[in-house]
Amino acid sequence: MSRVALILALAFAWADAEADSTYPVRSLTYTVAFGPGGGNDLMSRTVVDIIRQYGLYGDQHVRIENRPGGSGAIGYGRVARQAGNAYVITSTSGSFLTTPIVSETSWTWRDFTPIALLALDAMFLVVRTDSPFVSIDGFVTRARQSDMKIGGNGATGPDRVVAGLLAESAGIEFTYVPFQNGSGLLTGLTSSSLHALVSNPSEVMGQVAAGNFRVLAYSADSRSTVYPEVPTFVEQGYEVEFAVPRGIVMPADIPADVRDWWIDVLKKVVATPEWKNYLESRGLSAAVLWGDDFGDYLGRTDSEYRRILNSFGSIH
Amino acid sequence: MEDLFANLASGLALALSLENLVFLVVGVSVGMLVGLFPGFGPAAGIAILIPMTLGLEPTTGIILLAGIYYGAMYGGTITSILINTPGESATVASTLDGYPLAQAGRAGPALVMQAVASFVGGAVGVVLICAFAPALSSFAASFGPSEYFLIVFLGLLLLATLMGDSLLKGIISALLGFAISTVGVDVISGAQRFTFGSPELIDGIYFVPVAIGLFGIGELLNCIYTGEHKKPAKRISVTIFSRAFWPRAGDFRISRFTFARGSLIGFIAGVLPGSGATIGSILAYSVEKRVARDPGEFGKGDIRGLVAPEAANNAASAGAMVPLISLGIPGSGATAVLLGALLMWGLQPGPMLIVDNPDFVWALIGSMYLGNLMLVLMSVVAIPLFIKFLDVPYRLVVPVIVTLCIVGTFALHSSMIETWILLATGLLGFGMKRFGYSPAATVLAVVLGGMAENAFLQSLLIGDGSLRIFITRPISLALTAVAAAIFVAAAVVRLRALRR
Amino acid sequence: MRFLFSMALLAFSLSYTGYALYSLDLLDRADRLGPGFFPAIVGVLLIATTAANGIREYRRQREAGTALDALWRDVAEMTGLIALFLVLLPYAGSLLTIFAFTGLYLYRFNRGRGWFNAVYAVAFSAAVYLLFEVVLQAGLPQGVLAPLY
Repeated sequence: MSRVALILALAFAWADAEADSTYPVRSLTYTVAFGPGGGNDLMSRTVVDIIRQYGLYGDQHVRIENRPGGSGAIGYGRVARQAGNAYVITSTSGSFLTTPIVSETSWTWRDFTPIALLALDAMFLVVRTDSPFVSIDGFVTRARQSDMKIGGNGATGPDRVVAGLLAESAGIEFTYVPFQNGSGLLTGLTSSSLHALVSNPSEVMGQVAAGNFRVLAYSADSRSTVYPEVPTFVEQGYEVEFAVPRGIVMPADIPADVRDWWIDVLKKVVATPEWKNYLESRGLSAAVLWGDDFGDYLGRTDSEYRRILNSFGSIH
Repeated sequence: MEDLFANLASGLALALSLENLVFLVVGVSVGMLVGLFPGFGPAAGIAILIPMTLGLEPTTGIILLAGIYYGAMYGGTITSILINTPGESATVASTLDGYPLAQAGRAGPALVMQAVASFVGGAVGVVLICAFAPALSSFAASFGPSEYFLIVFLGLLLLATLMGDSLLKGIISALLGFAISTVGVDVISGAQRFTFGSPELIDGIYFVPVAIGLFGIGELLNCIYTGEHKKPAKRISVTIFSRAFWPRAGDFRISRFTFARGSLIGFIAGVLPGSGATIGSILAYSVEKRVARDPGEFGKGDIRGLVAPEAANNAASAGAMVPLISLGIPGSGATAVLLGALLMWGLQPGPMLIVDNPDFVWALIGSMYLGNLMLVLMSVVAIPLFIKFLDVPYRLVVPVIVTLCIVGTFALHSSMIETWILLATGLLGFGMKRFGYSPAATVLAVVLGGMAENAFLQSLLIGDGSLRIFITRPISLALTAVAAAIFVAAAVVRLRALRR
Repeated sequence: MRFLFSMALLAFSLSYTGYALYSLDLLDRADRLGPGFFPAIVGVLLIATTAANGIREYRRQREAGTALDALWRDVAEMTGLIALFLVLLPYAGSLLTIFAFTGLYLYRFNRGRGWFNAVYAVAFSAAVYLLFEVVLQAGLPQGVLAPLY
């Protein structure tokens, strides 16, 4: 262990010595706390591709490493342990906030340096097209009379929070059915086992386009730029506002000028057509917050999560 | 039907372009290579090559990635046959007769037959995709949690046919697998079970280290115990020109219906999202054992016991393309990675994909015909190389097996805990093998246990806590009837046996 | 051994079930089946079947006797070598660990062929390194060699 510490200490001393000269003097490790192919991985790879394409990281190399496991606990823990290392970076997800709440991890969002919020991944409430519900009001009225089954990914994820917020603001009760993956969730609705589901837009887009599913509401504070025809919960009179922050964080205690350097670079990233194309294809809303503003946002979202998950008794 | 041929012809024409052919060859070769190493399944292979596909046309890219996907199915069986180490749950059933065949000196015929069976399964699967994709996708879409539970339950009932010496030990083996499957976060309640505060265990114990441990390390220790490492190598010295290399006419004659049954069962299981290829290969094996006049030969190196699961798992990997393309629903880890790749190219998998991008879909299907053809040729050419491995004295092979097992396990999630699980399950597997338990039942219970529990609890939530949900939905009712019929049939067989 | 193995399974079943009942709730807050329900069923069945199995194996062993033969030693040594591999891997890195493991194994199980064993160990560890690190980029531990990367 002491050998590891020695190497790390040497690496930091080196990084510190170089901090005042031109920043990227070494290759960057972009840690993805999930497996390949998921939402977080896709966003990370898009950012890295843009950085490579426009030469934003100087002539140094950017390496992506997938460190999945424990709903992000492993990958984020790995980054959190490297406090002060200006050459490690990672992207946030719903699990970035929920995993420390529901499991015992050695880190929370406070153990990171917030760099930028780049996009918000809000949720759809979706029903089958052949169901009688055309608006959220009709759905809520029916839910007062009989028990509705609403599906979502995971017992403690963002989907559960959106469903919980709806129940709270409409004063209804329903049965939440957790699924382990998106495919089980989708067939839950296509097979009429569920009445509705809460999902990431990209997972249901195909079914919506084919006319099989109908979207009742969107959980962001304003309508999506990609689906302007879908009303928000708020405009239909329900206080449901919740989105997964898709942003970028680095380990704690990195030099302030490195943080500012990254804010500048990411400002260039979000201005590219490639980034706009990514947002569009994934149904994400552009939403940017820099540095401490992003930190405040994480803090607010974190307390919202805690409050809702507490009310279900999901925190043990 | 005419449309079908026109579409398929245009798809084949697209797939035959020089660039697409080159990448198809790259894809199937990489697939076979990663399939050879336990732990490196198709999901890992695809993930490694995804960055390479970013600059390609989507059609070329998906041809490359799909090639890896079904190529790995061919390669994955080779280690199952030669060193009893399945790298994938879908090839667990292939060890049951594949490894005994190799031990009896029939490794050549076994490998050739598995290549042929894989080809038949894959080709039948592709034909069925063309013919029935629209109908099948609505069938798959009607599978909710209650139907899944019943399908998995049927799979579990059939586990009994895989069991070793005694029913009691078989049941213990399966229960051990269920116990392992309960580790990790419970999907329904979100509670952590048996994690002892370790983040590595939150996602549960993955079946790959368990499978590699029980089979690979377990068999290795067993060979040491039986003194394999003190014996000189048995020279097999077969070449592609010698008779012993090729299957006998009798092998084909006895398994001619096995090909058809295996392919069909595998394809149907593959279409249902879930653990398609795994359930398909068990179902195919069990059915084959049931319909055989001499079921006693199974497990001792019966060629039918290899052909059935091989035809099935390859047909299933074709079948799994149906929900992926037509519903946007990935049926397995590997197809989930493929889905991610599609999104990366800006293609939205779902019912509209074939309407909006017909060229893409038909070129993919066309390339699957070509890919399967290439794979069977490549396998036959490469098999003599693999058999050479058996000519090396066992004591020199040991470091290779140990290293492959450990490196393959570590490469999955870079987790040291999983490598220790490998050693622990290796010792368990050794004991199980020596004393007549059934490691295959354990691995399959690990895979199916979590699915069964989740689907059961989801069904209860949806059905307001009542078991009626399993008979009120039409498909559920049909599946419940099949399960009941299996029970009754088993009981009748028992009674008759008692009367005699 | 046969009987001991069955007893180990029984011991596992008892501790599994005990821990499940101690740490998990059978029912959730809404009185629906909770996280401990399935483990409890599996645990109880495991105890019942492994106990019955233990009795059978005891009878069988009494008939057959308890002779231990010499090869158990080889199995134990092999297990020790694999454990050594796993202990070394994160610290020494993949290249050195595979070299050390192969070398030690051959020294013990392929005696008296020093030169051949040395060449085998070097060539094999280098080949694995090239295949998995360079071609497949598996991200194996680098260990003490990390500064050289």
